[in-house]
Amino acid sequence: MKTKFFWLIFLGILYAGSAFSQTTNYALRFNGDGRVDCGTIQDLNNLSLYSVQFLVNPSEWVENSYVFKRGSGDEEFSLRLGTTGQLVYKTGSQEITASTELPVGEWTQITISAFGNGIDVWTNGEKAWKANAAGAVIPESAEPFVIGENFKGRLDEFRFWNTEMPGAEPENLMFRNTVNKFHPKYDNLLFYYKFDQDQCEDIVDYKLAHHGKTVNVTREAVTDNAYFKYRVVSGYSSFVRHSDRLQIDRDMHLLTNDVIFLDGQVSGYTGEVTMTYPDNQGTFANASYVSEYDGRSGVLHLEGEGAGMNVGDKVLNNNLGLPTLNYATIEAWMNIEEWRTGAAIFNKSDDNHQLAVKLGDESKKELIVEINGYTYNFENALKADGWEHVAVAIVSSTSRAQARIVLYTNSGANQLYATQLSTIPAEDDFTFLSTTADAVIGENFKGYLDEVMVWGNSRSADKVAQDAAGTSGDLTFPGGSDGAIYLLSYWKFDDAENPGKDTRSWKEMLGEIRKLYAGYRGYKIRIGLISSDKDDSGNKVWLSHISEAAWREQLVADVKELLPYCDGIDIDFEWLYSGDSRWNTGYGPMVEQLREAIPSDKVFSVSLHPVAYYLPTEYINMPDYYTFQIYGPAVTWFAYDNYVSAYNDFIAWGFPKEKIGMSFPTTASTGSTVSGYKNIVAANPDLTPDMNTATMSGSTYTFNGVDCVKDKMNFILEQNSGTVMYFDMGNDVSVSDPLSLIRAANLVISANVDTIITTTSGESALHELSKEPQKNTSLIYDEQARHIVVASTGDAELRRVSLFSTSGMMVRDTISSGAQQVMTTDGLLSGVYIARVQSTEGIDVFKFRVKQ
Amino acid sequence: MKTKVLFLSFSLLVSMNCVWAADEDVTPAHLNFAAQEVGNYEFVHYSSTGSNPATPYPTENLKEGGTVVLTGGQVKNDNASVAGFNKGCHIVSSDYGNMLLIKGNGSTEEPDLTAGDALGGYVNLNMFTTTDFPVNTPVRFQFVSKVVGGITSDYKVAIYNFGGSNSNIPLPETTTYSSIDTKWWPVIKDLNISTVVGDDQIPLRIKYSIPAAHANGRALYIATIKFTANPSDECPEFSPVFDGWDTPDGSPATAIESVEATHGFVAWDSQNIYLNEMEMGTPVYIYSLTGALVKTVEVTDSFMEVPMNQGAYIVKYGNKTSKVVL
Repeated sequence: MKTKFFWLIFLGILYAGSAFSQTTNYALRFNGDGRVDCGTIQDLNNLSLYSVQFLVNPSEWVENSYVFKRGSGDEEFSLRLGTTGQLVYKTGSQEITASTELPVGEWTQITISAFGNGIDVWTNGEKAWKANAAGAVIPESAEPFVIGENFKGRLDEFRFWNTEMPGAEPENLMFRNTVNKFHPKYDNLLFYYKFDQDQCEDIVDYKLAHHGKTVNVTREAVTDNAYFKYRVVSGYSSFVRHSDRLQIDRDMHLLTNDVIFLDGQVSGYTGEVTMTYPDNQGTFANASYVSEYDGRSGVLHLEGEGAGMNVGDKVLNNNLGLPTLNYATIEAWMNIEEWRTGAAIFNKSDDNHQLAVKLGDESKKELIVEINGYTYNFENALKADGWEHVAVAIVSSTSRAQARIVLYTNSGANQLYATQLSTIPAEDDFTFLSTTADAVIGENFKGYLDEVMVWGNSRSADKVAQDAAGTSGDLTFPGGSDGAIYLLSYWKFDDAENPGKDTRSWKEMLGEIRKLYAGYRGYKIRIGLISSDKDDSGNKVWLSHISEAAWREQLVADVKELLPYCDGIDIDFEWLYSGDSRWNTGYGPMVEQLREAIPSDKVFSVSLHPVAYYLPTEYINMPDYYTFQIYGPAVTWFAYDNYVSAYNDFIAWGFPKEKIGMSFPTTASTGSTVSGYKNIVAANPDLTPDMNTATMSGSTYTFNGVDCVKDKMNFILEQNSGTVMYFDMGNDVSVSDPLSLIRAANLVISANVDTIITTTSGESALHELSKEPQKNTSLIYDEQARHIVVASTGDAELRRVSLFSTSGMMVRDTISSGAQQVMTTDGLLSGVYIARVQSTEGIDVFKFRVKQ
Repeated sequence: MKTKVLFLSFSLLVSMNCVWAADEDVTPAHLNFAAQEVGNYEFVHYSSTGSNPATPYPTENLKEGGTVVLTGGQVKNDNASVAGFNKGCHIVSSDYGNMLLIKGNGSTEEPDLTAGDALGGYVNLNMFTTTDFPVNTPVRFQFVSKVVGGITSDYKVAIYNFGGSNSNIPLPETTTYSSIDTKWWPVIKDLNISTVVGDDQIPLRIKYSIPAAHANGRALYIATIKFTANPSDECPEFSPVFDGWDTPDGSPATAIESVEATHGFVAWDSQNIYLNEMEMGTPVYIYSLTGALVKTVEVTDSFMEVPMNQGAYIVKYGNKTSKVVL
């Protein structure tokens, strides 16, 4: 109990970092005596092609107050308030009236773009050309650039671009959105003040060049600007997706501020919630944590009789959300202090089924594996001296009995089959999954254990070698590889506070995701609840039970158990259609009960569909928002027109527009077959942003391309509706690809996951969203030689090179050393592949095309 | 005895014995590889409908002497698939008599094998018996094979009635070669083919399954397919840790082939000598019958193909010799 208590405290600390609901949009409040001094900005001198943008909301009209100003007289470059409603733009000796109708007490987005024939003045996205033959060249000045002198009111989102921003490209001016590094002219953003860094005394320039000093200025959260506001951008994924879809990287997370893991499996029969990758926390009996023993640190010491680490009954159970498990591998480092015949490295046995790895006859240095009445004897298998690594792999459940179990010793170097099989049952039953007994690690064992792994597949000798060395990419989450999916439990014994921690549990996985956001705020990590049980007729079982109070109470009780570890809950039960009385008797009451259970600092959303959205209006205001799934399989749901009509239906039914989450898919469909957009991109090298259909494997797929996604995002702005959702992260392409859909969406509605900056002195702590991250390695594909060459570009030493198909399947995997690795592409089919290069300096990912 | 009793009533046994003698070899000629001439062996039809041919397989497509049919995930068309696979199929002579050799795609070390270059697996070989096959009498099936080159998935064999009934399958899918195997592996089973009656009963279909990517870089030998009517002895049962036969007929290894002796064996046809599972890096000497050294080959792969002119040769490797006649 004690260890568990400590663990909860630790989690509490860890999760405090995401207590922010979303990034708060702050503006600066000026009361006539305040200013922001941005210092001397030499780069403004003599600029003739540029653009300056800001949001302004005067609280009182103060004539000759300044939005900004630099210098005076012939050196002056400024924008000031003239007579009521008038904005006067001054460059040197010339003045241009930029506006005559600037309102008081309202937000207005002003953009002034200078070019050779004057300036374009955009007011809330509406352009007016102010002709001036001399243009609007900024005069030279050594004076500081000052914002808000004498001004009364609020200013927000101040940007200056040092290049022409043509009027024909209004989408680049981002009137209603913040700017991120994927903006095509980001490099021309000279300085950029969001005013959102409320923990920093100074005004942070997001370009890190011209931070501002404030005098008599306060920050104020903006709640009254419908034209420009931050929104929730939800993205669905799952632990499995996050394991093998390497394009789900940190950058994709930074473009998603509400990640929903569809890993809460709700029993259709009972309402009980089971998480994919259950938490198999170990509890010790006659055992203890040892910080170091015989060269290994963080190990489990077991005392012999009565010793063991109980890891519960969920280990190696068939688990919804995972691929079908047919095989298994148990791995461990062990160091025998005293040979105790029958002591188990792993034991999960009940009256009906068993899976145990035990010590046998000491004189034969024997290891015994027991499975459902089969006893495999491996004689002379162990050295029983010092640390040794053993791995027992169930490689088949139907092959010849002797060939079903492989024992790897010496870190995978030795591959052994049983020297004897005994007590073979009359009936061949090799079932080892879903045994009801608790699993015990080190039962009656006297000695030390370390790095105990339970896999849901059979590990090969080379994988076992990597596992023993701790170098396998499959041990990594997120972004390991397809093999990582099958690592079901992993006890490292490295945490002195909680040595029995299962590092592969859903709680730990959520913790790893949270680390991707380290240094950021304005994001949430939530659990999505799904219910997949079907009856013999193929009908969803939850429909038959949701109206039962006991079913809902079980659901609510289990949801409460999840809440301490996540930022909220999403309900994704598919589907309840129009006219079904269970909307009133079951679904609505469920929403109500969950709302009561989920506190206001946690997000509660409900996922509905244009064919299944009939939640009675009395419950509609209870969730924080809805993630409407507006996509197929039916291709009609991909169309923009149906997206609009679906929105109108939601409004007509009574959903408040600010709670409506409109979505776009990263899937593609033929109408019956669904595939990932990433596969479409891979299969169509010439795919363009305007395309919404494409051919793959001879079939025509419908999807939402880049332009369509932007249109759908703009519709949200036009309606000023609520949130954005996409399904799912693992079917989009990498955000480094301009065809990325979530990248496109963010160019219209940004997720605004924001860095946390507390000071502008010294080197900035600003973590930038990298457009093209600095790589430590390079990759060259030699088509003629039919190989790739991976080379270190600096001091990095290669560790591992893995090739994946675009569907995420590993096709090559090599442990590397030194500065260069050549890998043949023989045998690979023509197409696009992803190379994951692990080096001493980190992991680089490359995409290349093989032509055979 | 108990096995047989399970199958048939005594009366049936008596009536059938009137037709088929005890221990009578009823192996169809086209599956009796030991008795066939050295040369190409052809799988003559294909099915693109999956792992099984159309059910029942069209009678008119059955050749008089039986039919071998290629199916499987990679068998997509008549010309390329079948021709490509047949390119690697040969009746070869060997130290142990004639047998069927299926050469897969070349390995890294032997890229130029004249092998079945169209299919890497999965491939299913469906071998039909003849239509006069015994029906209501016990029949023992013996299948002995070997795969040269490491494997990671099981090769399997099954026997179905002609109609492909899913119940009372004469021989459910059985592993013929697994990752654990290094020797010749026998499958010996007594079949009950009486339970499915009517037109769907015979001919039987032997389905030999090569797993995905398991024709690549490997050589498959099917030494024996044998059907014996009215077996007079008990069907042998092997120990769970039985590791196969040293030779294709189960005879013990001779002193020279004992564990301590040189590994490997030699096979040949009219164009090549095939070196199998010999110790890597060792030399193999090929002499004429007059004792002249004709060729020296260093073993670089578990399966090697040595093109030779027709003639008689002595192949010497380690402390073993084989006389081959091309």
